[in-house]
Amino acid sequence: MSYLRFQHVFVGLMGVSALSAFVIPSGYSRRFEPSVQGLFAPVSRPAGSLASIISSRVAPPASDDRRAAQDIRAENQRLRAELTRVQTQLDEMRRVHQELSKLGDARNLCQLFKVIGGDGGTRESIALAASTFDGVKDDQYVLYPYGLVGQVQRAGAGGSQVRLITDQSFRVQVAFRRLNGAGQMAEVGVPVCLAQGSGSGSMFVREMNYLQIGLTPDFKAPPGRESAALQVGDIAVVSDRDCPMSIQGEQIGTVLAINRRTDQRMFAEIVLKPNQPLKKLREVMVMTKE
Amino acid sequence: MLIGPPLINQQSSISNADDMRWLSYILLAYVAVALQIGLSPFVEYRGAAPNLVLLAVIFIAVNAPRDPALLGGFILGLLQDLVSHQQPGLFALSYGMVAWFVVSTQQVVYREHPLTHFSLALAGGLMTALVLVLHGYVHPASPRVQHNGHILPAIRVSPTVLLIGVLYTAVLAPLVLGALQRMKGIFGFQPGRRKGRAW
Repeated sequence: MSYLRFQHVFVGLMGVSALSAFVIPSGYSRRFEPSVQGLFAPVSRPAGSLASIISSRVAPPASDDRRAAQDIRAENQRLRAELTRVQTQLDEMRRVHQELSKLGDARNLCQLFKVIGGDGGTRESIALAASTFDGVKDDQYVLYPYGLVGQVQRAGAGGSQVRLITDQSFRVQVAFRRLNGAGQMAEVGVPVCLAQGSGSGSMFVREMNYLQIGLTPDFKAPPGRESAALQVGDIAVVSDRDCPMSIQGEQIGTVLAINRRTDQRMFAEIVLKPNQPLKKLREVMVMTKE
Repeated sequence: MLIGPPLINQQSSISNADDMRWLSYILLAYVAVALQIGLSPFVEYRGAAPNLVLLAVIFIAVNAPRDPALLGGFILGLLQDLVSHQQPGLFALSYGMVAWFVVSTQQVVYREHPLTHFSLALAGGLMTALVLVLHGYVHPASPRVQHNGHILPAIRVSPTVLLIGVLYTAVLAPLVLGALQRMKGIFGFQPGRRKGRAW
């Protein structure tokens, strides 16, 4: 290729990539983007596994739980009571389920897939060794034992990319729950609100003012009350009409902090943290059926 | 960036298959992208991971002749675009620019020196970060939205996180590029085919 021709080709390629990056809508350009995540699995998975082992030994995940041991014991007792109750319900459900399973195979909604790795760039996503041949499609929900992981963004023959709930582009309506004295998950008394991914391993709720979360204008608990309606440690769960029924109630994370918004001082910025670092998951479940 | 004596310009401007061993390049690209997606969640510092693919781009651009260097950088960006949730084309554009910048400095840097590696990675990282920030302002990942009567501001890519990532990559550059420089024989770079300027 001559010098002049290569220059033209390179400028053309740069021009096309600039158009794709800045002008062409992402939904359109992603249609032509092949899924090649699976190709990298032979190297990325062993490397990730090794890094995971080293990471868990060198820097084990720190707990944000600062409660006294007595409180934890009390909660344990409540949870035991709750577990007994749930176990009884589960036994009954199993019996019903066995009956229902005779009707067909509609019981299995999810399939387990291995995670190939994280995002190649700076966004919050994970790559799965799951292709369209496995029944994976765009917009399917992805779960792990502690709640919702995200949504399939780009499924192809060579793998799938999952947009995590902590990615900036992810939005979902959430409700807040708390374990009450009777060992049950009760509503906190805060309206359903929109949670958005922060892009840094957490989610934000930014639409509630101090009154809605039961605080005074200086963001303190009102006089005569020990705490606000919404507290650190409360659990956020999916409560979104746009999501399928099977996703409703899935955990998003726990309230890590309630701060004042810097741009609108009357509003709060509630930080929600998933129960596990989502980018470090090694296996997830894709809800291939609804 | 360390400035070294200028190399003798060669007259040839023709790029051919002998300029670089493309099989070695493909292996490097594969390993760099695979390690990037496999390791990045575990080596993050404050949400920022080092960019191993950028280091591969710099290695190719600092050693290879002009045409394969530019093309190699662009293709690496394209590959990274395919395994990212970013808008397609962002890394291809960024790495094309980085490759062009590094190629233009080929004549005046000591390519074996750790300070060269650090400064090129810093400059390349800043160029990439600039493109990402600019894209974040033009097309925020989460645009402004109205919900329940409240306007929620757009959420954009954090320049601080990007800057930490750039520094992280630059700190690793002497180690990674130093190791790659020791293996550059397998890439069969042809130094004589370099042009005096990138363009």
